[in-house]
Amino acid sequence: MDDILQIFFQECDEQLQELERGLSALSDGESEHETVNAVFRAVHSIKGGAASFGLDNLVRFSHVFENSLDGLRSGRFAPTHDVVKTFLKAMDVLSDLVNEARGGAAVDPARVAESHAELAAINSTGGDHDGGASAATTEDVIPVDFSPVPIDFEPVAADFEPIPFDFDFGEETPAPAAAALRVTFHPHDALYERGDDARNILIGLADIARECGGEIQITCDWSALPPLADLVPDKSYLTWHIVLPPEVSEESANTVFDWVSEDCDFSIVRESAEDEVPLEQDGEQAEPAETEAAGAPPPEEERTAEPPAPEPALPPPVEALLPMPVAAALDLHPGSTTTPPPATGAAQAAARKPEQASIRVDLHRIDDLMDLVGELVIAQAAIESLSRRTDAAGQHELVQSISSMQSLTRDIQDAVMAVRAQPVRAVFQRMQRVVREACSMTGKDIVLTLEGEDTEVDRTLVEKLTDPLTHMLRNAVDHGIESTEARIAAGKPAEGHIVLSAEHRSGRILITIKDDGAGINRQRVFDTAVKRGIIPPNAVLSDDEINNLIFMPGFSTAATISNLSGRGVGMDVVKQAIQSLGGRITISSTPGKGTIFGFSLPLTLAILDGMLIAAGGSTMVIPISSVIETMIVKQSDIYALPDGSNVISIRGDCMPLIPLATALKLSDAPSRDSLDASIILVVENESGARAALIVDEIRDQTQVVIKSIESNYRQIFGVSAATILGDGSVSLILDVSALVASAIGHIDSKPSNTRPELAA
Amino acid sequence: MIAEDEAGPTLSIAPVPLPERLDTAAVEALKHLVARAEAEGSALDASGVAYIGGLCLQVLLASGRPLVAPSEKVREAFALFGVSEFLSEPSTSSSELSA
Repeated sequence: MDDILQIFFQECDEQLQELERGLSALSDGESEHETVNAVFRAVHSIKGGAASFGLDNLVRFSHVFENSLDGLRSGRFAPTHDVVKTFLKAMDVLSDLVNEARGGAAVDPARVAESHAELAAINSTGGDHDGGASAATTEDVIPVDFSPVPIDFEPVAADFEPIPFDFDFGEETPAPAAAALRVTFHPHDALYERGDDARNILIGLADIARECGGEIQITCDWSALPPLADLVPDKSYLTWHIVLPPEVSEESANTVFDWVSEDCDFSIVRESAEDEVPLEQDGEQAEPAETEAAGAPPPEEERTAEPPAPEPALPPPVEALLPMPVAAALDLHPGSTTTPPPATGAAQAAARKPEQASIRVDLHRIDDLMDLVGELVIAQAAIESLSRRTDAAGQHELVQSISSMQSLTRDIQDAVMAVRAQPVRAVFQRMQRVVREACSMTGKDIVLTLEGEDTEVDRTLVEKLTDPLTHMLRNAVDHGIESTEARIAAGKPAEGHIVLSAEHRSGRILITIKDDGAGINRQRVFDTAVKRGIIPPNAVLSDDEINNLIFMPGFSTAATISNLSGRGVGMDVVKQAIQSLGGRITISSTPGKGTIFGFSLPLTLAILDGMLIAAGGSTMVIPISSVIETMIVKQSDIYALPDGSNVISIRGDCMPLIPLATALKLSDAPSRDSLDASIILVVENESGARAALIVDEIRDQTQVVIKSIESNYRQIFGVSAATILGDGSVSLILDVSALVASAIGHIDSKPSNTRPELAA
Repeated sequence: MIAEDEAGPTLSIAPVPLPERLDTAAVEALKHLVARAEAEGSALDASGVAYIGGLCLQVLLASGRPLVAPSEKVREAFALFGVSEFLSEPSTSSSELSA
């Protein structure tokens, strides 16, 4: 049971993402039919699943939500800014309710009620029909309308594309005049076994009746109930007869049974004098004949299960009707097929333990990978046969074969990485909510714009980005963007703007959070840092160094501690989180204009293209992505600085000249005269700063597998990781950014322990 | 049964309190509880019940024990299940049901 529930929650997450995506599209003005449908389906699937698990709160709320969305779907009102805003708010509530059902924090009922009321309000404003507050009403009106004016029907059918069978029904049988809908319902034992309850079905029916403004009449048939002594507690004895108001359509009544159709007997009949045609449905949907068979000699527990099947007075309509609910159910709810029937459910759930994370991969990526593996097998066979030949030509071919296998290996590696890659969209979209909530708490009006959501990164990174980003965005809302009054006073638009973007840059992913707020108040940051004892009062710091103080542990400038940020923890935690991913944070802030935070992260944590170089007698690897060019220097391009360091002018650009061996303390600084004709690599870090590294020799270019040096030894300045070369020797992978940063005096990239004078 | 009928209007034994949640998981326990109440001839105190599921409803219906002081939730649930009359009858005469 728990396992199945777990799957339901996983699906909820997916549906919520879908919902978020759809609503964002709506708010961007894309009100296409497909978008609206997708949003509707997402909520509907959550409702359906929740009903199976008896999650009443969730069912109730998603039901109201769904109704309002249906108003949108049927075009009763347009997705205006306010409407979408209400939907977004409702989505947040919904996702909290899902979380609550999962055992998370309880949702404040007032919030639910508020959102509930808002949804009801927009739904009622758009209603053109009499009492047409709800979706079901609209649907009901249609078959009635249809009969006399068949032409009306066509456009409506297009509107309800997913359920065309509903209206086929209307064509083949006379449209029922205002006759009540009679539902008979008997749950099987299995319904209770899987955690559902007859109660949920009755609630569902009562709800659709209420939507139509009608009353529901429920009578319970307990004639099958044995005396208490003979009663088996988990056996189902009761049968209900429900009379729904005439406005309720069969289709909407059917949807109530969508998730339980295999675990109960139910029939939905339009109560009308001549067409007492039962819409029988049993566990075995595919074989209606069995319904009859089961009905004739009723098993013990199903004694009153079904009303005796009436003589099929109108056999052809029965035939025509039978496929309808099945098809409708399948068409409408692709999600429902993912709820396994209880029998196989246990087996499936066992296979999908909650802790086993899974990813969704485009099929073509798997196909690509398969193709490559096929080629690898062929290449291997070729090498095998070539290796048996002893002549010179064979040797030559072997070498060629091996090199083609090399490129194949690389392709496979790329393909595997592609399988693991995920767009950052999932995380980015969650941030919309973070900002929305932060806005409502601070009373600010801020728009978050996402850019580059399709940028793909390794999934391990995607997951770990959520917390740091959440914190940074809350911080941007709380501290970055000024209050509305202050913004207007400063001549800015009242609405704040935050841009969250992702892009690939030089083999890394660069995520930036840019706000158009007041920028960092350096004086206040400095004063606070002094007050907190983080720096001595007489410290002389560059602007950049002051900016970076906000990442120091125990730092907070917030005058009042808000719920959002400013708890004094956080920014340093963000920094640690990013660093643990092999990333770095950069800040640039312009007073009055805003602040830009940049996270630079490695794309993958496993393999890297490197250049093998020698310096100070050891072979090292430099990530090829950070090497801009290589050249041999001329003495005349080198200029000495008063502090003993050198700069080199390359085509007019001056950059620090770093003797690599010296920077790593492998040898003493070379004299300036000895620099002539030495080999340099021009390297660049992610913020675009360049430096020239002097190396002894460039040996090769190769792919290396990254082995963490921190987990095996400890962090070393200038070294990001280690690797094992083809000859078995261990080689260090250089941290170019740290080297460049230390050369240009960039405080951020230095490990914090290198400046003890700052950490009081 | 006869003794109960007489005791019906003025139950001398304190009613057996029912748990708050009568869902599928609670049905076994409820059956025992109700069986005990039947043996003792006491009524069932439904004042603290917040949720009644289909299976527990069956037990309550089958027992025919009067429900004392049903909470609003219980009334709602019984109305939903279409068995409100079961709830109102005991107040007039519990004998009819237990008979």
